[in-house]
Amino acid sequence: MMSSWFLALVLALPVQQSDETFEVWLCPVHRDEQSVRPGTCPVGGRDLVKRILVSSYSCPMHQHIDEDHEGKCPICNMNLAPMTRELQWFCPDNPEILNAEPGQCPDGSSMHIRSIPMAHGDHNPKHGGVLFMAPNGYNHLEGTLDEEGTFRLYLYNDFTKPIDATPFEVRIDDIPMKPVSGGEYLSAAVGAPTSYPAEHVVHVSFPGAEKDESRFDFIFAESMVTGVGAAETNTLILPEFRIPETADEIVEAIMHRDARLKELIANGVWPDLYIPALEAKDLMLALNAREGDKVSVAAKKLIRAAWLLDVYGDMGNRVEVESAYQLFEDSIQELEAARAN
Amino acid sequence: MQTKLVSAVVAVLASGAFTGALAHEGLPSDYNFRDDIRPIFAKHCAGCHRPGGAAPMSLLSYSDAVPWANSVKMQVLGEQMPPWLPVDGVGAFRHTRSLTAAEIDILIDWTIGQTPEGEPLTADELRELEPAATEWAMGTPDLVLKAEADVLIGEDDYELEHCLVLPTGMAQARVASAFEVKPGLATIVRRATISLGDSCEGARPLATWLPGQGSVSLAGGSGQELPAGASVAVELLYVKGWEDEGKRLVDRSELGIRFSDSALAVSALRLSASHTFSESVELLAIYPELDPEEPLRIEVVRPGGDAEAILVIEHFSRQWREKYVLAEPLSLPAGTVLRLSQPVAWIDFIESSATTAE
Ligand code: HEC
Ligand SMILES: [Zn+2]
Repeated sequence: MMSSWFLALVLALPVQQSDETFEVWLCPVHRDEQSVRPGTCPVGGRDLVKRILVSSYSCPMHQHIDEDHEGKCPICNMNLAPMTRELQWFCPDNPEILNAEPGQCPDGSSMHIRSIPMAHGDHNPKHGGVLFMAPNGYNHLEGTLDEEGTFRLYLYNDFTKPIDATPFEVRIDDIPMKPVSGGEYLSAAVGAPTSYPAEHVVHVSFPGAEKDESRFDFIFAESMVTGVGAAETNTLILPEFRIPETADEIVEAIMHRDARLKELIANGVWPDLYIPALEAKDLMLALNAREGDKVSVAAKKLIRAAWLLDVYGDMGNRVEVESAYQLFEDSIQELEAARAN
Repeated sequence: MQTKLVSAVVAVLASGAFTGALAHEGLPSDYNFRDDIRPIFAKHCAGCHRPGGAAPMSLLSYSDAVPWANSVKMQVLGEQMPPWLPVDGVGAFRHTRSLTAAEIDILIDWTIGQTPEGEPLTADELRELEPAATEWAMGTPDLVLKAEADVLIGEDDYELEHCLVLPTGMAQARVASAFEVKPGLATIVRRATISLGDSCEGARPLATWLPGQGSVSLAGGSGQELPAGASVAVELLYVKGWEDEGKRLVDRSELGIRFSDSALAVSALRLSASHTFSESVELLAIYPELDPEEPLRIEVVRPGGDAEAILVIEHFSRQWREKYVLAEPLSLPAGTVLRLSQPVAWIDFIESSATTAE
């Protein structure tokens, strides 16, 4: 479901110590829809369900790591990042019994408790800019650029709620960014854009156990450059996606997606790459089912490339986006070679 | 750093601030663990990723697998897992460990789409995942060789290669048709390279064994001749998972061998550049001996024919060095040239006249 709504449902929770729990009502489907009180999901109308959350430190790759302080992952040595987890009560002998609150197992013993990472997926910009997710899986960043050449960077947590930007050391094209309004965002003057798309490389050093820097490429088409607060609403209407009848038509549709990927990459609209990429992947799976072994090497490559474009498109690093697209292009070439034989 | 996980800053999001960047909302995947994911894990990963297996974690129960979802996503997309070095589409081998396009798609969709569980496994189903009593996959071996002493993997060893020399005590030559290693400590035995002789260095490789492989044999009913009084050298690669770091561990692995009186004994050659076959042969297996930085490409050029790649490896990994046993013997007429881009590789083959004489 890809609708263009954006709901300002605010999660107004008190500031938490890392080992405290807090209650929240969630939509069972759109889990980003959170409320402090019972209600229904504004998207699908489902009743919100109560969950008990806890904040802790975890590894972006190994989400069972659950510490109450900063540090490094014992498995892969990555910096731990803060993470919101959901508490679950369960009965070891009756795995089918799961509770969101403490209770009793059929044998009369108290239920055991565990915490599981919470899925998040709201990657919608809040200030009309470009929004990326950091490799630590927790922080989200949004960059905006206005006509005067002021670049602003907003920092968010894993549920895309604003956080204090002060502890982040950030450079844009080697210009240090400074906190504004008590850390509401970071700002730097990068010069009014002279041509489009306007492109800026941002290096962010994340607070953590060890220096941990990531690169983000912010690319603004002319329509994206705005005055603050003047974000325009741009409803993207997607044509209905379907798999064509013949193999030739499927290949043609894949080529179409390839052209769209090229365009999105050039214009810096990387968070949208997943749309043509995943459509191309579904087309390719259909082709593979039809043509079998002949295209299976190309298919495997394209499936990987498409998902990598989805993953890296959200993270905004040019090197990674380009290497994923390279794989996509390789698979297209292999597909053409395989079908020429 | 003061981490305020959920900052009290109340987002003032008045307008429908939304632009071209239409983000997807991470809706739950249509695939679930019980029906879609566990069968893939069981088929392609359980040889190593099961309780007590060679990999650091099991993937067979929902609660075991879910915490690794992100890691599974990146390892599968990066082709690090399942471990299989040859590129797709060149050659066909036994014991291939790779996923199909559809399997990759299902796994990744699930890891990105909130890892739905489906109907939970029952307590009985979970109990089936307990490590089974270690049996020989080959049935009872004709010969079991075992070191006289334990191998010690010290506190400070993270990775260790150890060469065991095992005398067969055989009074007469016999043809071995299958080999199998039964690890003493299955959690750390990552590879065994079984060679002929009393040294692991540069010796003729008979077989390699990797976790989850069971019994290893050659194609075409052939085997490896062990001369009377021969010794077999077994190079064991031990790697500790992160949970074993800093521990002192011991291993006493066993080698099982099956003999066959009807199997044809293969010839082996160690090649460093190219080789022209003067007789027509059936090629059975290839073992790249080194782990070069450069890609490896092995091809054959039949008389009057074009070069045809038979094994291509882009990225080597010492841990997953193995002998590639062809799914079917490859017939190469006399005069065929075998070329390799990198030294050194061993090949196993039989002369075609030997097969037709049967
Ligand atoms: C032949 C044995 C083997 C097979 C088959 C195998 N793995 Fe692994 N896997 C390992 C080993 C050993 C490691 C530890 C790697 C290391 O220590 O370098 C590992 C590591 C991993 C990791 C990384 C864990 C981490 O540290 O984050 C993931 C994820 C993984 N495997 C997933 C899979 C999946 C999914 C499959 C099946 C599709 C699979 N593996 C098949 C042996 C195997
Ligand atoms: Zn980790």
